Amino acid sequence: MLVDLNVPWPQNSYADKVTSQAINNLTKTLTTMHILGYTHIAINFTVNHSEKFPKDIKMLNPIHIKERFGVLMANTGLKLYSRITLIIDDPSKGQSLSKISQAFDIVAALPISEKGLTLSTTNLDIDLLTFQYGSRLPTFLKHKSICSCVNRGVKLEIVYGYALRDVQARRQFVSNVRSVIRSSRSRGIVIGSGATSPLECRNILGVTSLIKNLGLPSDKCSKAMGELASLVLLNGRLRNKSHKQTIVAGGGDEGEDDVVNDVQGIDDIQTIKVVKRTMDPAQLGHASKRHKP
Amino acid sequence: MVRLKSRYILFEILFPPTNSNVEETMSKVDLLLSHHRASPADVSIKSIVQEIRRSLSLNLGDYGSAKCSSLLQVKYFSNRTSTGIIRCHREDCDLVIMTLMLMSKIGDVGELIVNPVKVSGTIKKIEQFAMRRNSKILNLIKSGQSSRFGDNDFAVNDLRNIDNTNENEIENEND
Amino acid sequence: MGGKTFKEWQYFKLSITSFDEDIDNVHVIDQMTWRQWLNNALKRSYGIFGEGVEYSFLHVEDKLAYIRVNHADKDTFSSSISTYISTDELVGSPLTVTILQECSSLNLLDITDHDRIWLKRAVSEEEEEYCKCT
Repeated sequence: MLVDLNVPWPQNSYADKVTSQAINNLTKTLTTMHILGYTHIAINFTVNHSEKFPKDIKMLNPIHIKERFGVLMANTGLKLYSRITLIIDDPSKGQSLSKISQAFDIVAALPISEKGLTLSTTNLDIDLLTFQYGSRLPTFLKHKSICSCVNRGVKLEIVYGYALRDVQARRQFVSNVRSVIRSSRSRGIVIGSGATSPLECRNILGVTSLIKNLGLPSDKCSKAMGELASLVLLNGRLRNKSHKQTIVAGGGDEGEDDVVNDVQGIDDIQTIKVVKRTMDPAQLGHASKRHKP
Repeated sequence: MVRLKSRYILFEILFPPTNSNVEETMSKVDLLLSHHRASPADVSIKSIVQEIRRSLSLNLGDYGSAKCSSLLQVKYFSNRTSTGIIRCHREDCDLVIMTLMLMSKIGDVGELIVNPVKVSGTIKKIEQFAMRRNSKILNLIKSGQSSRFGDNDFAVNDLRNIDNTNENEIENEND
Repeated sequence: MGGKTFKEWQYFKLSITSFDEDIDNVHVIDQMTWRQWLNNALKRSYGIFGEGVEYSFLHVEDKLAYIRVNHADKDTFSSSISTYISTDELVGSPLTVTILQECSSLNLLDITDHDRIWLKRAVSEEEEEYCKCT
């Protein structure tokens, strides 16, 4: 199972319009990914944190996976997800993430300043932390902050598309990746492609050897595109479709309160249904002393 | 007994469709066929080796490229199937694969992806893998093709070509 | 639990010279020139991936420099600076660098007394950085 979490969506802000040619290019990139063996791909919408977000929850996610890529998914068996990356510059200008994170499967942060980095590593409820690997890192990375971030559950993403663009970007990419690997002590690293065209997609063997040469041990490399990446997907999905990571709790008596199969009222908009039940003290046994009716 | 340990890398050259339009209704088979094409005549063993050496020296410098070049050769390459086999030292295998990944064009031919498919210690295993892989792809194409036979002339011709070169390969290896 | 400590950095004490006393006395080598020289050396021997080796200056004093390199890259660093001779573009004559000392712990560095100020600062920074995750 190969996962790629970063195929850029060709729109830079909510005001930009998406041309059909850009969508075609994206479709071509997705098909090339499929030929190379990828099974799960997340389409990434990068936007500035300080930008004005639309109020309507349906407008928040411009990707519309089912409409645009439904046929492609059916033909090839690819599974597509949506992701948003917030470019964080000045923490005071942004807005809260709760509405945004409901509209997308994965939420990521891209700090470009020191304050942004401290905000992302300490407070924000995100799944991934990325950097712009084509230019200088916002600050010298200290592994105290990065390690605490990884311990919280946020993963670090390495985007290998920058190494394929031009020589200057490749140099920056190499030194930035070395920094990231050193400061995270090789833990919690996920690899994404950032491929803007079909020519920037690469096989797992190639990507693994590239990152291995930059200091990441080979077992972590293969996990980076398989296990860890799928964990990020799972985490993101659970954030939306579960209540504090709980999917279903309890079975209930037959015919009465069937919590598991009671899916009425759950659809794409209202994605979770919280059901609370009180229990009969006789059933609880010793726990009834703590239970407040 | 100390032997020279080398690694053989099976790679293929893919031509992703950058110019033509990809329709959503294209099936898996069509996509496969559009990516795998015969390489133009400019791409030959000599040009591939030149490009690899150039890429090595750019990315890895004097020391890195010299280390890999000591036992670097393209043992086999076929234009029709766009697949080839590279031989290198066991320790430098990663460096060579990384260089293949960073190549974006060969000579004047741009818009291609060099895709390393299998790494093995003996050339026999590589050949067996290549034959198994080819027959798997052929089966996929045949089963997908049967319902749309005659629609796509280019695809039918390619099918025959792959069959022929497979037989040629088997004959050559047994010599 | 016993076991080897995780070594993160390798420290180098380097001296740069042109083997020509007149030129040495005239030119003062600043951190910029050092950086340029080191980048050229890494680029020549190791290409783009060599240039990306992380190093930082602990202290630069004319022709003597104390440098900190990632432990995993120490061999790359030392072999490339030992085998590089710069051409005339930096100061007008070729320069070479000698490695005076190489060690993995700050406390073992050979320093003179008035260097202790920055050394103390570097040691305290390192301790602050150290966290229990491996």
